[in-house]
Amino acid sequence: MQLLPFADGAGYGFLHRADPRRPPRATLVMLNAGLIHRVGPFRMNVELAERAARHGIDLFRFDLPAVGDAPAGGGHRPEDRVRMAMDAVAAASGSERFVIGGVCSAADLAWKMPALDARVRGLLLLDPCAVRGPWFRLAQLRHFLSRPVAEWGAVLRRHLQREATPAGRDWPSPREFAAGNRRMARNGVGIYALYTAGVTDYFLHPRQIASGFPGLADRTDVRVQFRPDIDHVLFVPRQRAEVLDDIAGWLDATLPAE
Amino acid sequence: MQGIEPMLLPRGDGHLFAARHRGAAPLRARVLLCPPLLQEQIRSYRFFAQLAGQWARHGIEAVRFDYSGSGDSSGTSADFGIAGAIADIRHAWEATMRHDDGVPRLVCGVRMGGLLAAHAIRDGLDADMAWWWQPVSSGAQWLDEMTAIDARERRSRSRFPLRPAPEAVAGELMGHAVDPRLPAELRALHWPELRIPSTWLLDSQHALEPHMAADDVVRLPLAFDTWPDQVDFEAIIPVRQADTATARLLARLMEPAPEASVRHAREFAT
Repeated sequence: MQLLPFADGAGYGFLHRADPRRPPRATLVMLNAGLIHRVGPFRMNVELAERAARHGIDLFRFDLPAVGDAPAGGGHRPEDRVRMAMDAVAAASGSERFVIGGVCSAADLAWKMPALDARVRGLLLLDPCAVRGPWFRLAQLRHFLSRPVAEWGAVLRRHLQREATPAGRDWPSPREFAAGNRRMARNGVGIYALYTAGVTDYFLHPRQIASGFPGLADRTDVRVQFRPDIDHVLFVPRQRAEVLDDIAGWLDATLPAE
Repeated sequence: MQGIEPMLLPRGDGHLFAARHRGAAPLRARVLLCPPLLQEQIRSYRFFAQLAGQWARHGIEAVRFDYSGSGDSSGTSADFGIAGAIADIRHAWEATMRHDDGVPRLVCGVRMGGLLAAHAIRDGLDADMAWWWQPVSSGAQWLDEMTAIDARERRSRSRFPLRPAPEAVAGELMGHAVDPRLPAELRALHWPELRIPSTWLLDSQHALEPHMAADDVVRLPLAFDTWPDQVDFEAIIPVRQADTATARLLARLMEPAPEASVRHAREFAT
């Protein structure tokens, strides 16, 4: 593992090298999950680094502004910080290909990156944006009715107060999201997306996948799943291990061989 | 944060991550921050990083580090063990706190980091003073608390609204895969007999316990009562909440240690 300071002095990150003697197949750049510092929820990013390295893939983890050891502000947009991170990694390892990943709002940020930087060849999206649509409404009704009657009032009140975009999220419109996914896949950007039970306010039914990722079901480099048994931050270590193994398998199958 | 000097300290086949916050002149003290464990370490990371920065601006050079198998240090979480963590404290101390300039050297142990640091001191770590931040006096008690929180999270319908979570098995604790032997190691861990000038930074409940003399206890604001119990990050712990505590610690650095503080370090667990 290599300590990598940023050129502007505004923080640092850790580059896990699969093989320090040669450039990697790609580098997975993991963004902060909300306020959790660079190790990720329950140290998930470190666990993923070890799995990625088995397939010749590096992993870089660092703190975005105001998280972990990074100063607040600094005059850069988060997108710029991600690109600066990619520059630092490229200079250190010779990596030319990047997969950007994150949970929740970090997935929203990751989703924007392929349009901003051609080096981004893959996305790892945990609980990203989704298209609600009629299947969500149906599942939402079923979920509502499954709750004790005593809870209905409170659930309805929360539902009526809810915004179209969940708090703290930065979403494109549903149309832009679906079109963006189609466009990225057409351009050879691989996509791994996982929806968990942590986002029941916008994802509840597996058929929502086809709405958000239209026409991509047959592509081997696009893997989108719904795991209603898993929580938002992958609290249960066995479940987290399953997910990380699956991600590592997808990376290996998707990225060009060395 | 400006002024942080991150380091990878060689340790066996791997390394310990450490970060030094250089103290402003005049230098009043150096302190090694021993972090809490598991989710408490992740939950409080930003707060103690900011607190270290605050102390550095007041002339207290602070070094933070991660135990092997945690944070940015080498090893998987299943590699973490009590004896190794105590040895890590001594290793970080030797690597970062060896200076001959007469500046006092302190240990600040946070939660279980306090209990581990107490054992490192008992084993010979030559700190001049100790700050105990919401310390845990019994490994068994802490394990029971963590096990209860783990079970609460698995039962939580807001965390698992669609399917029940799997039951915890040996080797799982608070979201981490741990060495199945860790619970037994924790149960065997008790506060050792110490003779070191100490200041106790306690939450509102523990600060009121009668054996804690007022002159060696800093009562923390209510904002500190709940963070060890929290798994999710609803908000960061604002560092300004520690302003009063920092002022008290700075004042204590200038005073002779009261005899009571040494006695309480010895009697903390009783």
